[in-house]
Amino acid sequence: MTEWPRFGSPEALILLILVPASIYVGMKIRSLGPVRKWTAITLRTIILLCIIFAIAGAEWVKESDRLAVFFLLDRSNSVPEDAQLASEEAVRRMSSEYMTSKDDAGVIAFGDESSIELSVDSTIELDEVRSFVGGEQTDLAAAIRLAMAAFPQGHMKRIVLFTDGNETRGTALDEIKLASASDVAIDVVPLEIGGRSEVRIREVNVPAQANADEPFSLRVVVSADQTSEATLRVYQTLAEGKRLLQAAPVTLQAGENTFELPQELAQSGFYEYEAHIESDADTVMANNEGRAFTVVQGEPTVLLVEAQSDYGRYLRPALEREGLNVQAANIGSMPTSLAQFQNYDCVVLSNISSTDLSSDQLLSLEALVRDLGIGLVMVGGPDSFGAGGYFDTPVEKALPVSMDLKQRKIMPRGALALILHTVEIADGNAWSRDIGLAALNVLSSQDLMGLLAYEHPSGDSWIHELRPVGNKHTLRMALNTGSIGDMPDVAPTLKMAYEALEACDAAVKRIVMISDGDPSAPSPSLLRKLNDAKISVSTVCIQPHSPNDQDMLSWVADETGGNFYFVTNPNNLPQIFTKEAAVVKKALFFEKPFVPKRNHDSEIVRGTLSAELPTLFGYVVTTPKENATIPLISPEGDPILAHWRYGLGKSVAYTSDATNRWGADWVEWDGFDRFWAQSVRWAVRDMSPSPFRVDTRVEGSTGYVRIDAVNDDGEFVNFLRPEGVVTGPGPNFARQNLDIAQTGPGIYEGTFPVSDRGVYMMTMTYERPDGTQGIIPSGLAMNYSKEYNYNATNHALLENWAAESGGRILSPDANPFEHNLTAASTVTPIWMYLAAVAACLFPIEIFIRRVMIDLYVAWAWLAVRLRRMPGLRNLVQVPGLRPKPATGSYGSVPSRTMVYESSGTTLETGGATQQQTTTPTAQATEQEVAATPKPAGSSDYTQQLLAAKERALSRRKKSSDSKSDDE
Amino acid sequence: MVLTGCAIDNGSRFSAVHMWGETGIRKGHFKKPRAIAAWRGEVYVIDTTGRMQVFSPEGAFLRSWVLPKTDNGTPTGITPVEDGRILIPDTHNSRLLEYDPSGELLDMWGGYGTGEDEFIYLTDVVLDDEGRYIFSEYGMDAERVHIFSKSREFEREWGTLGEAPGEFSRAMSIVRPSDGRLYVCDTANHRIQCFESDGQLSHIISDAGVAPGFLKFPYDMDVAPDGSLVLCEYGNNRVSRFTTSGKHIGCFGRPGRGPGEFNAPRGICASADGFVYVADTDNDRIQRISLEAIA
Repeated sequence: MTEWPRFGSPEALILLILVPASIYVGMKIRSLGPVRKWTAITLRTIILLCIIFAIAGAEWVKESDRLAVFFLLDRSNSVPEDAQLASEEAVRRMSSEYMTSKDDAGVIAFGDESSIELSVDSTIELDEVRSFVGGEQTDLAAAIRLAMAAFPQGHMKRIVLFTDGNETRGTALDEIKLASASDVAIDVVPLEIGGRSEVRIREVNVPAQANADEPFSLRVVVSADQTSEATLRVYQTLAEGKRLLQAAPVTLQAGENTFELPQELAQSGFYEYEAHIESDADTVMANNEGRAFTVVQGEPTVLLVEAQSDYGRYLRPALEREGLNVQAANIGSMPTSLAQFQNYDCVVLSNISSTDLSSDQLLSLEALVRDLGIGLVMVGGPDSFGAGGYFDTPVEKALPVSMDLKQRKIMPRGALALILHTVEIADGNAWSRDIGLAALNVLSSQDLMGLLAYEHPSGDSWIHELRPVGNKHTLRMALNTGSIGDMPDVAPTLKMAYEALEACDAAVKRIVMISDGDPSAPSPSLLRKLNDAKISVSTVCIQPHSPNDQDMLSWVADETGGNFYFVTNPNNLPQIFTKEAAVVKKALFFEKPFVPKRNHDSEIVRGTLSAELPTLFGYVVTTPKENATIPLISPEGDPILAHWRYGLGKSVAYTSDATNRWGADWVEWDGFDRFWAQSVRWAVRDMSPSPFRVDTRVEGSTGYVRIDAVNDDGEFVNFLRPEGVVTGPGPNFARQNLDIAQTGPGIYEGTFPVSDRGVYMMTMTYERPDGTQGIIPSGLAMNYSKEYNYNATNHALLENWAAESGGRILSPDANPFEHNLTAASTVTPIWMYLAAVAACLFPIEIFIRRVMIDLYVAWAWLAVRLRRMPGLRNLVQVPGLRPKPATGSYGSVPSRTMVYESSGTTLETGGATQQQTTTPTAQATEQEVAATPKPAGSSDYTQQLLAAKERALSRRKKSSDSKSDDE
Repeated sequence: MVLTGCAIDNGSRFSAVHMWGETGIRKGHFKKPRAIAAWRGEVYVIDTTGRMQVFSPEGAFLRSWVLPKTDNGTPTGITPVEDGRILIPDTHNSRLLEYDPSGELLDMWGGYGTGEDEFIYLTDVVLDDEGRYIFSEYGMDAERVHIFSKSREFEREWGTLGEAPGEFSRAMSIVRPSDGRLYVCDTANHRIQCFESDGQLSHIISDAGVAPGFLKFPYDMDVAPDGSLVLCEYGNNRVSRFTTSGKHIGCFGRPGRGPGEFNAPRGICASADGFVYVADTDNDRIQRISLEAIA
C-alpha cells in the first residue's frame, strides 16, 4: 500500500508565491520578541499553506495492490450439470492453487437472476452452489452489475466468467464496456456444452385465423442432430382436456424435418394445438413440445360461471331462451389461462368469490377485458364484489364499480385481530406485513383492527392493540416497523385476541391466524369461549413442515365457524385476508326489500325495463367509478346496475343477484330474460369477421406478426392503421404495445420482444378508410426457454467479450489471481480538513501577535497560591519580580501587563511575613509605585497616566489612614 | 430494555463468555443454530441450513456434513450416546437419524403419524440404562413422551395436550440424570415436569415468569456434570440452572447482542469439563460460559 497527496486543481498552487512574501512581511515586524515573532510567522505560513492546498483541491491517494476476483458461474439450463460441476471444481482449484494473502475472492451464481453465493473474502469455501437463481434465462448483464456493486473498495478488480456465452436476456457487452471503463478486467472461461445428441421441436404452425369448415394445415418442424427414429404426437387442447389427434412413428433426418397434418374446424372459437416429439437420440426433454393457436370466427359464445347452488337454475335458461350461445361452467371447469378464455366473447361470473379463483384467473379476467376485448359481467350475491374479496384485485380494475367504501359514513363496525406466526417460512415477515396491509385497506376508519405477534424480548404481544383503524397511519407504521419473531405457542395470543374482542362492541368479530401449522394446539376450552362470544377464527396454513400439519389449523377453524385456507401460492395470501377483512364488514350486504330506481338511460337497458320494476331483497354495497354509467340505483344511491368500457372491452356490474335469494321477484318477472340477454349482448366482444390472414412466429428473442389484408375481391386493403397490444405470459400478464406498420401493398408487420416462456396473446384493432373497425385476436407461444435452443458454446461472443474488456480467454486451470492490473487507488478529498485547520490556527496566530503572557508573573501568582496549601509552604518559592525594562507594543501606550513588567521591585522571598502573605497585592503595589522609574523615552501621555495613577493611590492611602484614625 | 434480574455486568462473569460464529453459510458461520451437543471434547451444532458442524471447545471448525432432508425443517436436538452413535431427532421429518461421529449415516427410522410407532414432531431423545429410546414429542394428538425398546418396538407413551400436571404443551427436550427420572421441558407451559421411569409424575419445577427462578419458553435442557439442570429460555433470553429437586441455583444472560446476551436461544448443552454451550439462535453464534457463572 502506497500513499501520497495530489491536487485536483494544481494551477492554484501558483498562490504558493505568497508564502515567502508572508514570511518576509512577518520578519519586518520589530515590535515582537523573536520567539513570538517566529511563532507567529510559522503559524501564518501553515495557515497560508492550508488555504492554498484547499483551494487546489487537495486529495489523499492510497494505492493498493490487493486483488479482488469475482467468479461468475452460469447456472442456466443451457449449461449441463456436468459443466456446472466442472466450473465449481475449477473455482476451487484456482483458489487453492493461486490465491495468496494479497487476494480476495467471491462467487456469484447467475441464470434467471443473480445471487452472491460467497461475498468477497480472503478465503473461498465453495462446497456446492446453494443459490437458486433459476435456469430459464441467461442474464449475464445483471450478474456483472451485481459484481460491480459488490466489489470492495480499494482493490484491483477482476471478473472471471464461467459461461457458454448463450445470453438470452440483457446485453452483457454494454456492462462489460462499463466495467472495463472502471478498470475491471473480465476474463472468460468457456464452458463446453456441445456434443449432445439432441431432438427438438422448432416450430408448430397453424394459421392465426381459420374459417369454419375450411381445411388448413398444421405444420410441425422438428430439428435433429442425427438420423433417428421418433414418435410425433399432436394434441388439440380443449376446456375438458387434451384430445390426441395423431400419434405416429417418424424418421428424423439430421437437420430440420417438417410434418404436416390437415385440419378442419366446424365450431367457432379459439383452438390450441400441442405437438410432442419423443426420440431415443435425445438428451434434453424440455424442448420436445410446442404449441400454436388458431381462431375460428363465428357466433359469439358466452361463458357463464355460477356457484354450485344456483348452477343452471335461473340465468342460463334465461340467456338461452334469448338465443345466446351459452357454455356453462363451475369453478372447477373454468378456464385457467388467458389463452383458454379466448374461446369466449363474454364471461359472466354469478356470485363467485375471488378466493375461489387463482391469481392467474384474476389477472386473466382483467386482461381479457383490457387487452382481448372480451366482455365481463359480474352478477352479485353474498360472495361477490367486496364481500367476495374483490377489493384491490385486478378484476376490480375492470369493473365499473369500486369495492372501496371509504365515502360511506354510517357503517356498523367490525373487529379483526390478526395473529402472525410466520417467521420460519421464507420471507415470512414480509408476507405478514403485506397481508396486514391488504386487510387494512379494506377496513374503514370506524372498524377495529389489532395485530398480535411474538416480539423479542417481550414475547407474545400486541404489535398494534385492537382499536379503531382511524387514518390507518399508526397501524401501517406498526406493520412496517414491528419485529415479528417465531411464536412457540399460539394459545396465549389467541387468548389475548379473545379477551380484546370479547370486550369490544363490534357487530362482527373475527380472528385470522396465519401459521405453518407446527405450534401447539389451543385448548378446547378456549375454543368454546370463542364460540360463546361469537368470535370466529379463520386459519391460514402456509408452507407446513409436512402436508398433514394443517390438521390443527383446520380443527380450530371448524370449531369456531371460521374458514380454513391451505395456501400453496403465497400470492393469494393478501386476497384471502382481504376476504376475511371483508367478512368483518358485514355492512357490505344490504338485505331488505327495495325497488331499484332508474338513474340513467343507457343502451344496455333501453326497452327492457317496464314502468314498475320488481322488488329486490338485497345487494352488495359498492362505489361507482367516475366514468361508469349507472342505469339503476338503490334508494340509498348505491349502484345496482353499472357498465363501462375498459381497454378494448366492456364490463357490467349487477350488484344484486340473479337468483331467488335477493331477486325472487325478478326471476319471476317477464322482462328477466330480455334484461339479462341485452346486458350480456352489450358486453360481448365486438369481433367483426376479418377476412385477413394473420401469421405469427418467434425468432430468437423477437415475436413477429404479419397481416395480409386482401378483400373478397382479391384487392389489397391499404391504410388500415392497425394497432395492437400483446399480453405476456404470467405471473403478471405484462402488457406491451404492438407497433404495426404497413410494409407493402396490403401487408402490415410488427414485432415485439419475447423473453419468458409461455403464451403471448395479441389483439389487433384496425380502422378502414371508411371508418369501420375490426378486431383480430391472435396468439403465439414461446414453447420452451431459449436456453434449450443452444447446443454449442458461443466462442465468438466470448472472445468478443474478452477483447472488449482487455481480458483473456482462460483455461480452467489458469491463474486468475495474477497481479497484472492497474493498481487500484482510493482517493479521499482532504481540502475540507485543511480549511478547518486554517480556521482553527487563525485566532491562535492573532492571539500570539496581540497578547503577551509573562510566564514569570504567572508563576509568581501560582506560587503564592501553592504556598497556602498545607505542606507546600516550604517547598514552593515565590519568585521576585525581575527588573525588566518596559517594552513597547504596537503603538505607544503600554499595556496593563507592561506596567507590571516594568516594575523593578522584588518581593520578599523565603521568610515572607504573615502580613505579606495576606496582603501581598497592596504591599506590592505600594512598592511598585514607590520604585517605579520613569521609562526612558515615554511620551507625555504616559507621564500623564502615571501622574494620574499616583494621585489615585495617594487618595486611596489617605482614605485608608483616616479610617484607621477613626478606629 | 427488560432486565430479567440475572446480573451479568459482573466483571468476572463477563470475561467468562467465549463466543464464535456469524451469519452465513461458510464454515463456522450459522443461520439460526438451534441444536447443540458437547461430547468427547467436541461441540456439535445444527443450524437451519441443515448442516451439522463440529467444532473444538474453543470454536475451531473441525468438520461438517449435511443432513439428508431439510426442506420441511431441521432437527431441534442432538443426543450423543455412549456406544458412539449420535442420535438426531429429525423433528420435521418425523424420524430419528443415527450417525457416527465422522458423519456417516448409520440408520434412520420412524414415520409421520400419531400412531404408536409414528411421530409428529419428535424433539429430543434420551436412552435409559437398558437402551430404550425415550422421546419428547409434540403435535396434534401427539403431545407425549414416547418410549421404544432397544429393538425399536413401541413400549408405551403418556401425555396429552393441556396445562394440568402431567399434560404437555410443546415438549421440546428430555433428559435423564443419574437419579433415573425423566425431566421434560414443557415449553409452552413454561415448566419442567419430572417423571418416574414408569411415567408417574414426580414433581414440577418452576412456572411462567420473568423473575429469576421462573421460566418463559424453556426450549432446551441438559444435565451439568454436578447433576444440576441447565436450561435456555427462548422467552427470557437467558440460561437458568436448577437442581433436580427444583431449587433455583441461578441464571445468566439478558436480551441483546453483546457477550453474555442472548437473542432467542434454542439450544444448550453442558460439557464434562464444566462449560455450558448455548446456541444463541437469532444472533447466529455459539456462546460458551462456565457453569459457575450460572449462579
